Amino acid sequence: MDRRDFLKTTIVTGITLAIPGNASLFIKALEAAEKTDLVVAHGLKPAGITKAAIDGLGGIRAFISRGDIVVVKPNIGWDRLPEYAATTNPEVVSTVVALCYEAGAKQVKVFDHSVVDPRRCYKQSGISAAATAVGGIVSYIDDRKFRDVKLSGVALKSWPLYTEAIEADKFINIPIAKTHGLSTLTLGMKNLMGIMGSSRGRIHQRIDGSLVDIAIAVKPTLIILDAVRILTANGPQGGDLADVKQFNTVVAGRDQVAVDAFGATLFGLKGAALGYVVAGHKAGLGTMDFSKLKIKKINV
Amino acid sequence: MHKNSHTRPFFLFIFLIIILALSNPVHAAGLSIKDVLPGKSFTKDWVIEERVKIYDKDTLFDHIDGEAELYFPYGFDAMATASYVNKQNPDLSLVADVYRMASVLDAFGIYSNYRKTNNLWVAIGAEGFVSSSQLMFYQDRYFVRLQVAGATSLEKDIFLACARAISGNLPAGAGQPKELEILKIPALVPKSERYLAQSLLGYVFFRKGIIADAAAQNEKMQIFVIHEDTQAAARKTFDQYHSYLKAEGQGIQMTGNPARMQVIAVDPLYGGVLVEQSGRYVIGAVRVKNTSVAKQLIDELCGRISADAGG
Repeated sequence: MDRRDFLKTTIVTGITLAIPGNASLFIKALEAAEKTDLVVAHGLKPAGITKAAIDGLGGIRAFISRGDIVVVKPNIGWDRLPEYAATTNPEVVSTVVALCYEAGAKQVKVFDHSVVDPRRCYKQSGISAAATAVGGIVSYIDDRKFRDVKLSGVALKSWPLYTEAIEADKFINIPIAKTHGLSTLTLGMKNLMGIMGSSRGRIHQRIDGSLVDIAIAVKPTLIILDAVRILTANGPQGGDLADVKQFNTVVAGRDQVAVDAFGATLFGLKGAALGYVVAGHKAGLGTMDFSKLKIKKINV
Repeated sequence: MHKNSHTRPFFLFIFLIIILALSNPVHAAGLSIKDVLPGKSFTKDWVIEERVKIYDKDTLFDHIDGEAELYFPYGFDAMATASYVNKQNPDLSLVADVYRMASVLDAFGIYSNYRKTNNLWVAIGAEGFVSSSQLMFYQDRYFVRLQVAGATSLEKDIFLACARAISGNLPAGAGQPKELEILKIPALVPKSERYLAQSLLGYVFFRKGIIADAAAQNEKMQIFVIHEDTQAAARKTFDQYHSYLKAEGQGIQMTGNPARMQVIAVDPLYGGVLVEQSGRYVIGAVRVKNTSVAKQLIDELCGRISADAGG
């Protein structure tokens, strides 16, 4: 038993003895919050596994406080129906939005810097309708709302970022797991490109370092990786159902490097195969070493 | 006067040639990429939404994000895109992308990246396939990609109508790239050829080449051809691979003469390999279990190189 386990056992035992009435619920939350770094929830209902993944980290109230202005950032980059796994699953998004409101969020904003026509992307992805139905404030990116932000990073010294994203009280990143021509896979860190202005081409020139610089600057409150369906080839835009694999999984965590490293395993890769995961690990943004992580797997 | 009567037919002939060239944009050297897409509609009820948009090397990322990186080694030059909306159902659209690459081989290269051996083939351009949601083909140095949006399937006839309209605006081309001919041995798995414009098999010293699946005598393997400009360049490529095998591989057996070197070994990534330098070519077989079968296929490939007089 290490020091961490000893402390947990002592606290849990003490509380159990002190408050016998509500002890089990309290302990459950404490247990989850105290140790779990990543939760991998598996099941047939996207809403159910999304909630289970967040509960596994201590519940939404561990992340969202009353009165918070929250930004939820899915991938709405492509004019594709959800079946193509090119955009985040709309049920995953709407579940997170609804949970944020349950936790007392004042506003939950949903947006992304779409690659192609945003009107079509927002509609065809199903995200606009799903998020709006639960009170999400869905908007298109407004070019006037980008502001140069000093990053002092390895690859980027400054970059225009979307003000609503960087000024929010809480930022929840909800990428979809899929292949990507340049970065091999697009997972959490790559999804942050959706709050970046200016030329995508310039970012792509030094993609790994740039993604880490942005990830350090933004530091999402929570990352929820949608792997309900994953795009296994011809990403990021996809377009052929033959390239889509049903995975019925959602991964949640606070550590951007760990979430992406775990995401790599869904494609049969190691985190070390992704340049930005390695760069993030080296920069101290998080860890790709699973032996140092407590990973909880849940079947719903 | 006498001189004029001789020169007039000549100038008239030249003038007619110029007029013919200009009147047929398909054959004009300066075909503009924006003219290859149907301007208004390609069939009943399908009309263009907004206008044709053009992207170049600096802006392709803005249209296809990281997938752009895939196109650059194939000499991507420009692309035109347009969405055609169904008048009866405005949520349903067909997105047509036309990419201009450096050569027919490059257009085939990018096309072959998407092609699967079990696709449904359609007679369009040099080669094309259709699925429930996409149609792709290449013609001359152009790669065409059609994608349904707002649905997971679209009638094949709609795809074909759009593809034919685009095909008619493109140079006819001369069919498939001649470089594919060398691989056409009986063991070749049809439609499995892929042209990689950089790092064939992931090795930087194999700068570019064509790889395909092969099956013979119940053995499955992959065969490849690298076409260098000179015999010396081919030898250099072969030597680099041989050096790599000496450092990382196992069971190396080297045979041959300066004009035709052959190595049999176990590659750390691809298992059994048989690679040969023959004239300006480096040819090989990887994932080999039975060396004698691989030898037979390599001999057949060498035979085709000799027949092509390219060796």
